[in-house]
Amino acid sequence: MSEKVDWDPLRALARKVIGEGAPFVLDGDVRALLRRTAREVGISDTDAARALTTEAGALELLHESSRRITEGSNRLMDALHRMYRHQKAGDFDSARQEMRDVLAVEVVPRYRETAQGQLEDLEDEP
Amino acid sequence: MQWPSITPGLLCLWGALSLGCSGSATSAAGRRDAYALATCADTVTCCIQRNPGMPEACGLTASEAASHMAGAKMAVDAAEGAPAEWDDSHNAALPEWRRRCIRAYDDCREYGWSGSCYDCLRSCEGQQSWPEDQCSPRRKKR
Repeated sequence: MSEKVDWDPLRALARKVIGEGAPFVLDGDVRALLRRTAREVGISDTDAARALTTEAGALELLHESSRRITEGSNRLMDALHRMYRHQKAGDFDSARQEMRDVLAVEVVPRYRETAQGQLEDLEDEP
Repeated sequence: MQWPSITPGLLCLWGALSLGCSGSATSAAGRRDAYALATCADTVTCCIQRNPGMPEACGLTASEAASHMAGAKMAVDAAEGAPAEWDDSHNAALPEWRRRCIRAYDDCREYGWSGSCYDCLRSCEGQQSWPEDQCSPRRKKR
């Protein structure tokens, strides 16, 4: 992996604010966390900076980052599971297609990198 | 929220775990003890084991308690080197996010993903999504 990410702080913030309804305080730490995470989930620095000019925008950024992390993980986990099953059945074309399908829609760089890596590992298979 | 009804297989597992807590001496006692040792690693698991048949005492539905212990069983299977099941139709009564957590745990273990598969299963159960940033497939070649 080219870049180590840790989304636990973002998850914790989302759980408190979105899940539990805790007040959203846009302080320096939260601003930095949202800015960093935005980049990690494929949101441009320009868009993130614009969102962070207002509390409502920052909250929307939190929602969107959390959504991308969760939905991307769900999509990737499902695809990986199917990929392994295809591999076990000797159907490497279908296994590769699972990763291509992820790459066709995924915008989170880390998830894309995982899918691309698995696809490359399947290159030598029949 | 409407939870699905508990499956017979999970009830059996849960029952076995409950019996294990009472110290029943059977041929499966060693395995149950292993379950108990490995699964009573957190408050929820210990509560379930101390209150057999009363998941509400732990703030859980029967389905949630069974699912919790199913995840624990998989951790014990991992420790014992038992083969993982591919077909998770036996978990059909569980919410899709729980099935995904268990499937990912299975894949994590079988294919030697990075990170602690057990910790990631626990995390997945808490946030209802697999923490791919903590546990993910390794590359075969670089």
